[in-house]
Amino acid sequence: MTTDYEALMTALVNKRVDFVVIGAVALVLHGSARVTRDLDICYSREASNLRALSAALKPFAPTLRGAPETLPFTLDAPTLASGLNFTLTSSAGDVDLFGEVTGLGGFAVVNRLAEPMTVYGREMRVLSLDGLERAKRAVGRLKDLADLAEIVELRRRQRRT
Amino acid sequence: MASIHAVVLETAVRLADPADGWRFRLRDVVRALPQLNEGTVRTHVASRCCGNAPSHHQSRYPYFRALGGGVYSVEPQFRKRAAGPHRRPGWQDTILATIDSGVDMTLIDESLKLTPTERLERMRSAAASIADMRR
Repeated sequence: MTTDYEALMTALVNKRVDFVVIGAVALVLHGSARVTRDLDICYSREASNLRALSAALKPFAPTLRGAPETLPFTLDAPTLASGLNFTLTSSAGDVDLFGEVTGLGGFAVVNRLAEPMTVYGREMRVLSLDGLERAKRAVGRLKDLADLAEIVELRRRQRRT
Repeated sequence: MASIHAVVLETAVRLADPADGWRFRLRDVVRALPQLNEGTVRTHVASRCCGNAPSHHQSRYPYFRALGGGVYSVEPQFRKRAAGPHRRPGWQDTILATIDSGVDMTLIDESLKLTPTERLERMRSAAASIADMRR
């Protein structure tokens, strides 16, 4: 199943969730040729935002990815408040929620490193190449090395335009 | 505590690409300094520390040269990267400097001709094809 980015992003924007698109999708939005199958977002931990986030995702019946189906799970504001990062699967595809991003910090810092972008006709915030580079350096997996090489090239091209 | 012009210079030098004429973008410097007031950082890059900007300030530092479109370059005499553990190249830089990264520039160039939505949809369709092949 491929992720329905339009449905997920539209729901988040319509419910006025404070979020920043991060990870590989952010990289793709900047021009990377990378392929991914999940949507990663960093979200504000404000109580009102936890309610908005859970309401936005509720129609997609999110559950914990990789957890036994018998494990009871409800994505609501108290659940979000009691955790930080969640790896979810849903009827619209896989979604990862990050209260903090390795190498960057919480939503306030991530949001400051983000830039507005229009996606599917809606304006949302997307982590900048600088922010992505910092996060990729901090995580340091092999696939992040390939992403870093792409970030260098994307930056070079951006400077010329 | 370091003065703002010194912090801005250090950040610009870190962000600038030596292989591309030490160019950097104003907005990248702003983003890299979330702890500082955005207007202050902008003023420093675009005016106070820019050698070819109109002279509006009593104290000026000729660190940068405006190239247009929010792009600047670090002047040759200020291109030395600061010493210190956080300024040393990471292990990733060592590897990337010694191997071919394998980045396909043609794919990137094609992607940059698209809108963000088109890029995402193209990636989504590629992901669907990969999933089909695995079935």
